[in-house]
Amino acid sequence: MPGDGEDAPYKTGIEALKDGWRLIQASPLIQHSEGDEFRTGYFKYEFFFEKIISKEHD
Amino acid sequence: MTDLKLLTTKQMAHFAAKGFISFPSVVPDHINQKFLDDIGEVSSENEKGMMSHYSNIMKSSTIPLVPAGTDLKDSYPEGTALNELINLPEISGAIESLVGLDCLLDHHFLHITFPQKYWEKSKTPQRSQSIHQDSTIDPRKAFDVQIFYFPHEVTKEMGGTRYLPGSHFRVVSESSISRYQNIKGQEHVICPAGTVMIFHMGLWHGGGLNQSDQLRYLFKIRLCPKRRQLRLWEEGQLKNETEPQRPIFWTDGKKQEDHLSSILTKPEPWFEMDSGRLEYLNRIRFWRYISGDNNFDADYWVTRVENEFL
Repeated sequence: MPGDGEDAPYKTGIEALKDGWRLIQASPLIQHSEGDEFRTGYFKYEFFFEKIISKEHD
Repeated sequence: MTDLKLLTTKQMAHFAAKGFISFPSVVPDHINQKFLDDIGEVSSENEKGMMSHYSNIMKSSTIPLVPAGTDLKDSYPEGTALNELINLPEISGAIESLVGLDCLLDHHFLHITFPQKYWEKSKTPQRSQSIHQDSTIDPRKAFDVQIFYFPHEVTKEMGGTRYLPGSHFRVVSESSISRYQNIKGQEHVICPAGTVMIFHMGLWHGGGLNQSDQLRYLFKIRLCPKRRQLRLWEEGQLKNETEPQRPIFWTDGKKQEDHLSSILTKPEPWFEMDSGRLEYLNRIRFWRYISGDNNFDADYWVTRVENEFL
């Protein structure tokens, strides 16, 4: 649960990947620069969906 | 240019919020036909493809060659279809309301969306034009407009221009946004002959895929103001409709869809709860710019963040 985990579930990220976890980075939240706080431009929240399809081996 | 039909405050508010205004079937058939004759349509039988078609049609067309920065009033000779188009009361009134009739012509261009057979001749897979913003990064308060004139009926199959309402205040760099392939809330032009749309220069748009067997024509005219765009539309209405602030969030529950503040704070389907709200501020600041009323606000969005004591 958030706030209750005192011990990391894995020592390294590589270990987590080896155990089947996938690494996903969300769109970073970038601090608004002074004087430009209200300017809009590119979409701020961008994600891709990836569908994993298991393939049966012959 | 005597008979002007200026935009109303409601139409201006729609332009401020959405970034465009539409005039379905505003151009009479005889002007549409005259324009199609002026284009100088050429046979496609011996052509090698799309660029060849453009090259040939430019040679045969009587559309005038106009240097960038020419006064609009000097751009189209009397008696031409384009002169008649510009002088229609609705169109001249909209031009006066948005950029002033003393505006300059930046450029014009006949956009042709080609059906499949032309792409085959060019040995290129058919595709739609990617979404983009004309013409480069442009953070000005002053704004240009682009007249989109559709001289013939545009059916769904013909791939009319797609555009994203409410995108015009986003400061982006031309085709950098092309990776946004489809956006919730995007619309496609499907219209009767003689329809004119006027876009704010920043509105995201792109040509569609022409799946008919006919050429699709769009004539675009970009106009630039020569002076500050201040209270150019129906001023009397402006004075009557500058309403005081109204209760927000906790209200009587009644919808006031025609209220200026309602129009300026109506979200688009693609707005999220973060930067979508910033578009309300962009619209309000745009309204302050065109009205000269620096105290104007809609539902307190700008006043709230200006309440500073130094």
